[in-house]
Amino acid sequence: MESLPTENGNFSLSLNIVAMARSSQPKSALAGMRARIPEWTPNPLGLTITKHLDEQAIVILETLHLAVQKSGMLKKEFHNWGTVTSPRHPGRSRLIQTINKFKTEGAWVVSPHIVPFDSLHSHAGLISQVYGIHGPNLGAGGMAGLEGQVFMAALTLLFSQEVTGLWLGWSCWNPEIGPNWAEVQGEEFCQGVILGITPEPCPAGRLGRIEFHWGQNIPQAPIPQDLDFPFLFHLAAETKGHFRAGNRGVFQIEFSLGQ
Amino acid sequence: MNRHEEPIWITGVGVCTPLGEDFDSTANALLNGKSQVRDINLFLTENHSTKFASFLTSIPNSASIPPDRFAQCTKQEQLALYCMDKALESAGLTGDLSKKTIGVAMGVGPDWLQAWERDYYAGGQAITQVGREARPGWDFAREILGVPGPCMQLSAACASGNQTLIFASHWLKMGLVDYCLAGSCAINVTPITLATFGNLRALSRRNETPKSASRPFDLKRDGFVLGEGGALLVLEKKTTAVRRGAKPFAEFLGGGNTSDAHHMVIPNPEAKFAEEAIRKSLSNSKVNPEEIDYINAHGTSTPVGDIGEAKAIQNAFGELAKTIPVSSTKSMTGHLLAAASAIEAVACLAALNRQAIPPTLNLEEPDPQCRLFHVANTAMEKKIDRVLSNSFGFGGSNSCVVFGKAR
Repeated sequence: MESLPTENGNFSLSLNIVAMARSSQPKSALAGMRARIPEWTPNPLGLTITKHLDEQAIVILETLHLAVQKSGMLKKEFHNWGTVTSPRHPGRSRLIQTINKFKTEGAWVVSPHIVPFDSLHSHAGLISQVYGIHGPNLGAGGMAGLEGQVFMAALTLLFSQEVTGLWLGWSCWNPEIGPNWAEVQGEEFCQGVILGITPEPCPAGRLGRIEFHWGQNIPQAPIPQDLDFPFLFHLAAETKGHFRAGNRGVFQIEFSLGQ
Repeated sequence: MNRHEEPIWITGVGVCTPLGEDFDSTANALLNGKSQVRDINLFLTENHSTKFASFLTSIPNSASIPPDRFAQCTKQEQLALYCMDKALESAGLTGDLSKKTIGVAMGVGPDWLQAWERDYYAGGQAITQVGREARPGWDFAREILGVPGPCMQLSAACASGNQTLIFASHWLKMGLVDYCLAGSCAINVTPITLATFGNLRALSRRNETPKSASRPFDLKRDGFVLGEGGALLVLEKKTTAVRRGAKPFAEFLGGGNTSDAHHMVIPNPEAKFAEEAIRKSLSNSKVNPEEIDYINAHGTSTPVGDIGEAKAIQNAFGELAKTIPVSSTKSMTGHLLAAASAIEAVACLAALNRQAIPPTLNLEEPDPQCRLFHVANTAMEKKIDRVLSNSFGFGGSNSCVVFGKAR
């Protein structure tokens, strides 16, 4: 893929959004959703994997399934795609429980699943397994305010022609859950957003496009809104906008949906 | 992508491991076959199945921050600050950096889990303070040093370091940055990290002889040794470096990525996509297999992983696999997880600069399922122009890169 230098020495790259979905699930629904994971995974996961998945992983699998289904790509193979995901601080509740048990019962009670399942890369590895994706799988950002880093990773992978498409995913708790997660019965929602993007035309047509602009002369336009999780969550509905997601005016993203 | 193709040079190295606190001391230790694997004295290990690691007891102060303030930083912040500062200094990028576009591609692993854990033991409550998460150590360092360009923390598990190098090279080609810091810093030796990998049965249990525990490709290997440390490299285009008179450590020739899509933890035993990552790295680097003079293996010392990697190398190189020297420096550094391939990049630069290959320690009886041309126990002098570094991680992430003598 060639980037297109613009007159002022900046660059731009235009990509198609070919799938998108969002999900918001109350905490009370997650146990039931865990049992439904086999419905959403073309390549089956083992019971051990399913049992130990972080809650955000459950929602991101559901959201990805929705995106694939809605875009008519259920039979599509994603061999040459890649995936970049940004779970926000997975593992908080599991770690606090683990530390407490570790203090009283010792090292042997520590789950071997903490690092594989609760790290920044975990969701991307999971998605690559479930959908047979053999391009790169990466975690990026992973903290509130770093959501735009997923787009930087996407731009890099597509610019370098490493993949023909990408699944981008973000997930978090809203509101963020605390350490007493098991006891709290409030209205916490586990939320996920998925975008499928590709430079190629898609049989099902595009849902919109993303334009990346970068260079040293990008004008310092006012920032209408931070590219954070709430923005992405509403983008999946019907928002359009023009955002600066990078640093020092070198990176902007422009979304146009419904075209 | 050929439009902006021009050589990418590595002009700065900041490294801190138990083996050394700069490029020369680290290179010397690796080529002399030194190991700092030892009993853990950072916390009690009596009920851990593994009681040793390669760990940092202290991190040298960075000149960019007063000692009293440095002492107040977390270990992760100190390590990132030291490595970033030294990398920039080594590249000759000092003084006011605000007008330069210097990016940061930082590989991370379970960093926030480890940060919460250390904070908890120190009496902090970061894990319970929802919405007030500590900034990543590297971001703190970036601010202190005034590094102003685009930044990203990314994770490909244990392949993260190589991935950051690939990203940095692309950002340079894209014109997104003029210089890029790439690598990873990992403070891994915590009670929970030791326990979780111990209970996964991924760690060696040679508690009586820690220095002999990391033995990649040896028949009697029984797991990896947890390690910690950091390495950041400065990458820039040759023209930029030449213009300002910067000297190269090496050229970054390119890399290749794939995913196994097989299992969250276990590598694909057929190693088909590890092999594919090797092939892609060579192809993207425009290097033929016979031009590779040395392979720095991922070589963790796990029974399954080493066999898979040997198969990947054999399949990618065919008959050449019998003649290309291979070693795993994890036998000396331990496995630094997200920072592993960043440290191994330094080992590759050492090989290129010293024209010698660091050995695989403790390789007494090579596993017949890992038939390669091993550099066992002592360094090998050799003319070295191009080096391949393999890195394979959880989630099936495979990332391989090629370095060469600077052209």
